Amino acid sequence: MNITLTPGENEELEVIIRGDLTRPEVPELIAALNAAGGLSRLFVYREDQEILCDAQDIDYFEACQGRVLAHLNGETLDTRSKLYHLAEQFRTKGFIQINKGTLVNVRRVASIHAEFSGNYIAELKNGERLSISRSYVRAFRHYVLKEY
Amino acid sequence: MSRFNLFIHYLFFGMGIGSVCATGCLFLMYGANEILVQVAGWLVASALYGLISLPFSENFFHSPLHTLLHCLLCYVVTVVTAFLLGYSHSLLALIQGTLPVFLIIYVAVCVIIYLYDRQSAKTMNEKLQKK
Repeated sequence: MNITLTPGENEELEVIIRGDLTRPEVPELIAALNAAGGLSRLFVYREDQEILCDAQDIDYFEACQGRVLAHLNGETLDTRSKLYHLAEQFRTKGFIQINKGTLVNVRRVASIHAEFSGNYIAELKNGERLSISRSYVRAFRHYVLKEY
Repeated sequence: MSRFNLFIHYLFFGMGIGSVCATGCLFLMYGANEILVQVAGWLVASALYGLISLPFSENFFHSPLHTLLHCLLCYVVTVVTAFLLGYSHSLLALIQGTLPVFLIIYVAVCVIIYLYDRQSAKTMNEKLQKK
């Protein structure tokens, strides 16, 4: 792997990964760049097909039967990642955990409704409804009111 | 957390710890008189109500059936506490005596919490709609 650093005029850093994008190091590089707060992209998988997508296009991540699935554009794709890992990577990109198994993109949330049981319902812009459990409400509320 | 919410949070936090400490100190000062025994009994019941609510804070328990289950478990604690405090040794009398008061308090607490949650949701929605 060759690394070239080139000074430029733009204040914003630009990272270009050029070469065979199917190499196994590429997802690790993307993850490292995400962790450094520089990227909002990740690899998702449709069966064996690898797709690089923007996190902003994802409605929510959901842990299901040992896998973490990304829901976007009416489709469900495998992330091959752990939920806590995605929560760390994408917290600054608008993602917050709302229950044990779900990480929602706050930009996709249209409204919040309180339930009599004490939980909340997050209604997404695509009409889907997700449950925000009481133990995550405080963190969600803080995120929406202070950080978002 | 807003200043008001912080105020309420610490108010109840202080009352929670204070009630346990105060009861303990009064026991030491005056011994186990009838009123203190009742206070201690209902304090323990309150702690149990809180612990019963813990598993219901996760999203598996959000159907009306689970609310009913929570209500029932809290009522069982109420009846057992009333029995142990000697209110009556007849189950029917205990139920007749405790059920109306329990239901009024339970519904009142649920409504207050729900109204607070609705206000909280409204605040979040105002922020979400600005974006």
